[in-house]
Amino acid sequence: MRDPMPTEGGLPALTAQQITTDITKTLFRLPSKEWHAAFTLAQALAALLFISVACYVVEGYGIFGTNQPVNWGNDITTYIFWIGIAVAGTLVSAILFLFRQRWRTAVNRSTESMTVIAIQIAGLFPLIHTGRPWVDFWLMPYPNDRHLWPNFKSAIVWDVFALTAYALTSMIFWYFGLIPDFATIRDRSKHPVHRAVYSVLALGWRGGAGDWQHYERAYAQFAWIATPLVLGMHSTIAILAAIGKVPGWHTTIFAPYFVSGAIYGGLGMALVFLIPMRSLLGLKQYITIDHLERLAKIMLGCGLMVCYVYISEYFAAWYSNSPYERGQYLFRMHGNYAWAFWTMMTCNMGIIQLLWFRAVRRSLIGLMLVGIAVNVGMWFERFVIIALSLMHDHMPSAWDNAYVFTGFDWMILVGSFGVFLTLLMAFSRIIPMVSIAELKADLLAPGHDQAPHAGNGEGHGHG
Amino acid sequence: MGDQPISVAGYFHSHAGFLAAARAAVADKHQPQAFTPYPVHGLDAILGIKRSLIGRPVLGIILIGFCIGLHMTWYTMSQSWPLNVGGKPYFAWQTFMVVSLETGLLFGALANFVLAAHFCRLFPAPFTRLPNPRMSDDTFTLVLPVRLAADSELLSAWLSGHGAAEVEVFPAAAAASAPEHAPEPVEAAHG
Repeated sequence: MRDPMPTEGGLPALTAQQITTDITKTLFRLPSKEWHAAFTLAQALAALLFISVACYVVEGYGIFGTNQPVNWGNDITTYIFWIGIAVAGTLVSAILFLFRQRWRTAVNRSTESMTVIAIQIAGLFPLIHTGRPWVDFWLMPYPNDRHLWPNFKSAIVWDVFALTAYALTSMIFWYFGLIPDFATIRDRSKHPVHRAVYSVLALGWRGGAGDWQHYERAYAQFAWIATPLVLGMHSTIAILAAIGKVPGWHTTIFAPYFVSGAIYGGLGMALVFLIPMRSLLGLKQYITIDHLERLAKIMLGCGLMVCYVYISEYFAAWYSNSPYERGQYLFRMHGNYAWAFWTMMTCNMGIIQLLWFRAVRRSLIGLMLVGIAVNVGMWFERFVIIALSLMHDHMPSAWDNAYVFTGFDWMILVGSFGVFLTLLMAFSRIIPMVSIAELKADLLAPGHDQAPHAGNGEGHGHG
Repeated sequence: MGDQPISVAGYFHSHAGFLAAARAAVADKHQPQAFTPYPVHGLDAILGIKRSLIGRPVLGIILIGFCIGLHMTWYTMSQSWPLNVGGKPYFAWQTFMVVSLETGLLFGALANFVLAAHFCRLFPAPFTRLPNPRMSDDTFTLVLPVRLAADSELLSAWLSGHGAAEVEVFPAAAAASAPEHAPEPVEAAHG
């Protein structure tokens, strides 16, 4: 490129070739020993999930701690946790796209990848929860030999449809965004196997002017389709709980509560993996502290919505004058799982307030710690909503039937993080973790405002 | 005949120079085709490419998907096996909205991908090679069809004169023997 973008802070100007080289360099190199060590550790953690599932298939659902009345325990808690992580990725890839937030270009590929991985992990949990996963296909409407159909009046079946539609659409959307980048990698590949694989993945993309016209239109349409899907999907999960007459669930605020909480937790996860990833993949000048700060600001906004809902729930419980509703919220604060409730409150209502300070928002360590706290808090939020509500339902005789995690519960929970790490690390070796074509269009096109927020001199901001 | 040039490609490394050359090629009635490593806004207006109409069939398929979802719930819940749930109507359309909407949107997403692949002429092609690997990296390409063999030199000179860093002439033989090596120049020549 002979007309590269101007940059601030005296850094050398970026060229298209440099952008391609910077983003794809890890794809053409053998990984380091440290990467192998970390990947092995991630796989070892992932193995815990598969061992736990194998034991469950052999022994049955009794190996987990769920009981009566806590028949939704770790599996549904972790399911909703991972769904929430996925939702944040779609916020960045689709909703921010529709709002013309150009800065999202730096982080949309990595957060979309997070979505694709998280939704697959999330999908495992309800399949495990059914108790007999080998007949999970009964959830799908097909003309079976018993002439039976799923009950479409059940919110569980709504959830099957919502999750399936969302998962498939997210994966297609993610792949569609990758096609031009696969073409770029195809044309830079030296190894014939690399070239053949990326040629197949690029689907013969040539980058004609007319092709880009259709491509950009279709990309925008994916964003339009994904937005109601993601909002509808998490609202459906919320309705699934809200229509149950369990104290603590039976509330109309659940849909916006779940969606804002999901974005909040998902952005926390995005920060936790983006901060090390940008260093390990050498992408510091593309994913700058400015981008992380913007994610932190959205996270703070969603966190405040979550705080509002917490307060509103307590008000509604008091105002309802229902002894069971009031009892539920008192149980959360003072019961035998009060530590889970207070962990949630500390992380989600307390630690998040640190993001009001610019110094914290622009500190990598600060963002990392807040991100971890938000993830811990959001897992416990789902645990409090699901398990604690069921522990203290309308049947006082069941209140003492404590819910205790078994070793298999821990394995499946920790293993899900192992699967996430394994897939994320694998993805970072085979796909560009920043969208090459979108970034070039954003940074290099004449007339674009090219460095509005690269004030720290750390990298090339764009937005 | 096999060596007869069918198109000439000019490779530009400058964004602004490429747009100026595209504008000049249209003005000089060269019927250019353009290939860029990333979307260049304003290029479609210069080349007279009409707005993509991919949205209309996708919207239609979303509506068809919605109707299929609604029909499926109506048929299964009130015709094939009427299920009495708490005395509620067999066909309670409000409860079927989630499934119908999700089905419609899923159909729309799948159709969006298939139609975009069709319009962008995408298909798994393991042997795809662009004539210049930098076309997908940092090089803008303008392809001009050659109508008469003698024109290729004139067009090459025209492209060089308008800032092309490199010029390449595509003979028909190369395109015929390995169409994936130079797919666009062939199309430019015929179309």
